[in-house]
Order: sequence, then structure tokens, then C-alpha cells
Amino acid sequence: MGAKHRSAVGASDSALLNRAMAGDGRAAGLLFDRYSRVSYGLALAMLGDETEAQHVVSESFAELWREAAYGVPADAGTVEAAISMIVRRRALRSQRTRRSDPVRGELQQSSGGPQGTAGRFTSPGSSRDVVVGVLEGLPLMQRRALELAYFRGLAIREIATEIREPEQVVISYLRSAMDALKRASAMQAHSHAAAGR
Amino acid sequence: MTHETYLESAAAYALGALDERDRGAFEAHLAECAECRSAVAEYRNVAGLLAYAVPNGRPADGEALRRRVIQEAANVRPLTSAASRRPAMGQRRSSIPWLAAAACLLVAGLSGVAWRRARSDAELLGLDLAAARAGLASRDSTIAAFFGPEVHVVSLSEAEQKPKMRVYWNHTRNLFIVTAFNVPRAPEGKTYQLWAMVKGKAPISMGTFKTDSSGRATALLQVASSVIDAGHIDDCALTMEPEGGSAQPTESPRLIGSWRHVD
Repeated sequence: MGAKHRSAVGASDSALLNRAMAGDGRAAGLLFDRYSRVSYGLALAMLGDETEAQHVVSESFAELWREAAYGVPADAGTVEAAISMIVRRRALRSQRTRRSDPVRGELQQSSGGPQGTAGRFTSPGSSRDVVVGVLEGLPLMQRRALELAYFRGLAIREIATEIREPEQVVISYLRSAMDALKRASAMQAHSHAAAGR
Repeated sequence: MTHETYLESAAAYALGALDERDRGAFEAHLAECAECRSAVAEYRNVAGLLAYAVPNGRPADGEALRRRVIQEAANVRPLTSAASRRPAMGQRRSSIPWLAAAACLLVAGLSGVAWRRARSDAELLGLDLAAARAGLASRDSTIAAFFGPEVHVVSLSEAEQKPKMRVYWNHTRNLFIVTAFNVPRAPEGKTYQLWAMVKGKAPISMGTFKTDSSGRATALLQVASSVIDAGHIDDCALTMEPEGGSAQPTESPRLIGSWRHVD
């Protein structure tokens, strides 16, 4: 492995994105390698269909490239957040399309459910550990409200109906849950920085 | 609503969970509140982490998918040279490129006379070239937004009158391209605001813009998530609102039209 390739492997997301937009296919491939599994896992969990999940991942990366190339402000500040938010938005759109098409929806629901059957793995010490740890530590209703908002794209009013709480309480639940994630994420970043020193 | 109330809603907004009316009011507040903008940016990054709440997956056809994605990256043609391209996501940006390009042209034009006396011909040529490149990038960016597989257009007019405006909606790039050609300049303290109209629902703000003294304008507006989430948009309407825009229209539409697909 040459020095150039090693530096590409360790490059920041934004550096890789710039290189990908300058025509460096290897940089595009490295970004795909970093985020395709989490993107596919998210799409599969939300859609429960492997073919549809692959399509969402493919379209989401294409959207990421276009946003980067055209200078359109991204929804999220980091590449990691941007790609997962694009995947989530597209998966929610597919969910809505499915709901408006009862026949297709019925077919999809009978094809394996949200967990799917693809090969799964986790990487210990990763962001997943942090996120799962925070979610498991949340009060049940906070966690439920967050999951309904994120994975099903429900609005405050719908979540309030679902968990039988006032809308203002749901808003507070979401803030508390997201604050808990924010704190844990900051602590993880701090730990990584300290380990690197 | 108070600032604290909006701040409390920032996480819900970042998750796309506010309903249309609250989202419109929140976005109007957001335009004027740096603290809430910062909170939303932080929550969006946190929301990105929620993808890790479910197990990672390995696509069955992963190699083919990888090749396709890399090919897509190669097919995208950046609008500016690599050296002058905007900072990538994850880096701070002060503005989008076409705005920077327009500002560059303006500065180059206004200060041109004074500079010509003080600078060498070579430097002037360099400046002219940079300004020309910026202008081309700006036009390229705008022109590119008119094309694509998913573009809709609406012509806005008064009843039975010729259109005074057109708005193009590039779904791929999540952009509205606003072109006005006979819309009188808004008075001091006022601005024009566009609204996405969905039957039976409250209007959703598409953004604000101003026309010049000749009644013309060309503006790019980012399509807000509230518009995307609304699904099918029937009509587009124009009102005049206080500077900064309103959460909901404060007057009857001055111009209105229906969206149609560009063939």
C-alpha cells in the first residue's frame, strides 16, 4: 500500500468529498465504504426490503455527489450527517409512497419486515455503541417519541396521539433525547481526541 | 411564541417533526435568530447519528452498488474549478457560490476604475479573468438548475393577465429558480414572499426575494424541508410581506399560478 493510498484512507470526509468531486474515484469509493453499511442498515430497517434499500442507498449517494458538486447547502453540517439524513428522507418518502399504494404496501410488508435478512455486523466501540447506549438509557416515552419521529417521520401531533401525551410534552421529550445524544457524542469525540494525543 | 419556545422546538424541527404551521413560524424565526440556527445545526448532526441506532447492513449486491455509486460521482460535473469550489460539507461556508460570484462581479465592477491606475496590466488581466470565471460559474450554476429530470415550473400572473413571473423547481437539486420580469420594486421595509399552496392546508413559505428598479429579479431559493414533506403542491402564490418574511401570508395573493412539469 503506497503512502498516497494510506493518506487517502485516513483523510477526512470533507477532503475525500472534495477529491471525489475532482474526479478521484478512489476517494468516492472510500466515502462509500465508510457510510454504505450504516446507510444500507438504516434504509433496510425503515423499508424492510433489500432491493428497495439498495436503491435508496444508490440514489442517496448520487444526491450527495450532486449537492457537493452544485454547491447546494446541505441539510446537515457533516458528510456523515448529510448522507444519513438523505437516506432517511428518501426512505421516509418510500414509506409514504407505499402507504398510498395498498397493494405494493401489502407486498412489502410480507417480505421480511424491518429487520430484513441481510448479513449484519456491529463494530465495537463505534458510534453505534454510543447511540444504542444513549437510547437504552432514555426514559421509555422519550425513546418512543424519538423513534417515531426519526424512523417513521411522524409529526408532533401524531406522536402525541400515539404515546398519549400532550404535544408540548412530546416536544420536550425530543429535545431531552437529542440533548442526551449530543452530550454522549461530544464525550465520545473528546475521548477520541484525548486518545489521539 | 418566545425565543425559548422556539429553542425548545429546535430538536423537533431538526427531526422534521413540526407540523406545517409551526414549521413556517419556526423558519421565520430561524431567519433572524443565530442561536436557534446554531441549535438546529447541532441537532441535525446529532440526528445524523441516529442512523447508528439500527444494525449496519451489507447489501447482497454490494460490489455492483459500489461501482454504480462511484460512476455516479464521476458523472457529476462540478460547476466551478476544483481550486475555487465551495468548501465541502463539514466545513464552514459564508455563502453559496453563485452569491459569491455575483459579489465578485459587483466588487470588480465598482472598484475597476481606481484599481486600473494602481495595478499592472497583468494584474488587471488576472482580475478580469477571475471575474469572468466567476460570472461563468454563476451563470452555469443558474442555467444548470433549469435542467434535469425533475423540474416543474409555475407561471404567476394576475387573473387573465400575462405572466409576470416564473418559478422553476429543480427537485434533484432542491432549488427554486425565481425569475420576475414585471414586478414593481417592493417599498422600504417590505419584501416579496412566495408560498407553496396545498389544497386544504396552510400556505408554506418558499422564501423571499426582491426585484430591482426595472421590476426584474433572478434568485435561487433553497427548497425547505417543509415544502418537500408537503408532497403534492398545487399552486404557487406571491405576496408582499414585512422584511424577513412572514410565517403566514398577511395579504391576498398578488400573483398566483399552478405548477406543471417541464417536458
